[in-house]
Amino acid sequence: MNMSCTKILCLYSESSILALCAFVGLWTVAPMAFAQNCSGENYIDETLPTGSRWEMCWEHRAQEGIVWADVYFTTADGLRRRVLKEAALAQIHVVFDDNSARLNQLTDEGAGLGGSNIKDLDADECPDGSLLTDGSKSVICQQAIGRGYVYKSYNRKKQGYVLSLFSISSIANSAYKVRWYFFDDGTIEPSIGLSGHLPATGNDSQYGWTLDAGNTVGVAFTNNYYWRMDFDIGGNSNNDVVEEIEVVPSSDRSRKTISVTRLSSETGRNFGPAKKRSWRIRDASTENADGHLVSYHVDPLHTGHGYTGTDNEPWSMHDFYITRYKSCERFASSNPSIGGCGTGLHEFVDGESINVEDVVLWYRVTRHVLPRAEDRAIMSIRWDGFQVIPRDWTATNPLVL
Amino acid sequence: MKNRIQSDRYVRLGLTRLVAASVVCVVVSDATHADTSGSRSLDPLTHEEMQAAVELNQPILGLRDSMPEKQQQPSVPGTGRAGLRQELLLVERRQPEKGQRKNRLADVYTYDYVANELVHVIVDVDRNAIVHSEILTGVQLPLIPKEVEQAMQIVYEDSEQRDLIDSEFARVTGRPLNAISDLKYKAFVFHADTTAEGVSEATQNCGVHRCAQLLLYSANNIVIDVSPVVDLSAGVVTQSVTTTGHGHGSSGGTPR
Repeated sequence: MNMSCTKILCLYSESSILALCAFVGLWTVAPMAFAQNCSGENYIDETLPTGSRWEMCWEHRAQEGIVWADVYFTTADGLRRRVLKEAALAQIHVVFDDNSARLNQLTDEGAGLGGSNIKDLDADECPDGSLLTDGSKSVICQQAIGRGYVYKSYNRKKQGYVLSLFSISSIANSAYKVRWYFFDDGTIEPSIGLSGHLPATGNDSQYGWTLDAGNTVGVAFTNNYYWRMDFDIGGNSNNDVVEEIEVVPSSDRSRKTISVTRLSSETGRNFGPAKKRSWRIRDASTENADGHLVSYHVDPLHTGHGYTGTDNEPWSMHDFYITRYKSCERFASSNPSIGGCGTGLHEFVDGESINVEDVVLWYRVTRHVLPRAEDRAIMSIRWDGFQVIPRDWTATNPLVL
Repeated sequence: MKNRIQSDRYVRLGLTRLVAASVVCVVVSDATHADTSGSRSLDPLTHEEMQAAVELNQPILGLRDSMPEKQQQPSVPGTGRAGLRQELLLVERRQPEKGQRKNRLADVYTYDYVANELVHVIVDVDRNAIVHSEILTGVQLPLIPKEVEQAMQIVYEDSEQRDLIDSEFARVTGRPLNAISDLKYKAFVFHADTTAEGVSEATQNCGVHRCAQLLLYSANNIVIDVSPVVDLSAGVVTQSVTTTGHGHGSSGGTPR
């Protein structure tokens, strides 16, 4: 541990390091408490004004764009744990309603979200933030921004902050703002904003919306965004468990009971708004101060648009997949079948155990875009995303100190 | 780095308050097994590392290039006639296996248009040595800009396609198509087995061959309702698809 106190007394427990440091006199804290597997510009260490801290590595890759790795969260009262080993967008599947094209924009096009498609950001695009560079290109804007109230109860109140990291990529006519929010309460919010020009216009209004006084039709399309999140909660990456949570109404719908089912093998699942279906990824042994196993909860709240593809798109049949970690499984579809790797989610799910294993979450958000006149000449940004939130990470709200 | 400076200030302020309040600091961590294997293992490849990896790859490609002509014969007549021979598609850091201290590795992918094979080489950039190589068929990585331009050139010079495009361009824009620069285009890898509708006989090779499907637009982004499929390995347009999903024809084109 890279923390030093001038006069320090430390006690260690076996299950976790519990360092009780009694200070007498001066103290210092080094900026990096644990070894990270990256250096210099590729290491992010942000302590937010509320005292919470996020650390991570990043890499600019040709297809995924920015990939986050070794993501650690430290609560405002100093509890530090690893959350993610790796996280990134894993596909943008674009389907036009008239079937004129079915695109896999991370893998089909010349350079995906990275390479020549990622934008060199200007300082004025990143107010009060820092630009992180890859070579001569500023590819990430890092900002600590206010998020309003964390809580408000009678006279107790607190303002919160979020670490915002975004990049911008242009693929053909579309501009994607790829944003990750890391909140001071441990919540992670991956999101993507679509802007640029409408990707296709035609003249058949049964497939879109007439945009002008003439016969120009903005062809409607669906964007399926897939995120890949490799959860490695706590110190051991091989002991994570996935549970499906449902709220099940009684036959007369007067009561609702909680059903928790452990998922035992790789699977694809669909959103279930009627039963408020959600999932949590928890560690098999790490507990909070009350003895509850720590976890992150994926609670789908924006599920208004769904998608089931053609028979040639078997990877598109589910909204949510859990697979066992394989380094070659990077893209939800059009994954290079090198070294025996599957070509997509439907082949990644092949019966392997995910019970106390190293698991990877694949999450899809579907957005159907029906163009409107206001999308001319440039589309205002349309945001899509989701949140994963800590559940039992701490025994109480870590921001109420 | 204004933000960093602010962050450091917040750390100091926060800790000052903590010490003032209780002079006791409690740190709890579960990260007892944090991966401490080297501080650079997740750093991206540097320009120098990429260059070295590509250079190491050259002898393997050179060996293929110098094979006797008989061994270089393409499996399908016409293969490799598009002016593309060996194209470097991608160089990137290879993700290390978890929990193991390993040297930094690079994946280098080159497409050999003569043999219609993807050459994948794994380079240990720390030791400057090739640790693995494999030849793959039927695996198609994303197109590079050179290939997209080549595909567009093939389409533009195909008389049958030009007739279709000229007609459609005039219909949607009200003016004739004068130059390739009047068209905007994008392209993606095309696999015959991913399309349910009307794949021509010539297009059936796509997947084993390296093919591109082009989407064409006018300068103001109106779709040209002609979407040609180009077999880059053979240097021909194999068919064209309209928004109704029906082929405009399947001439198979004339090899260039």
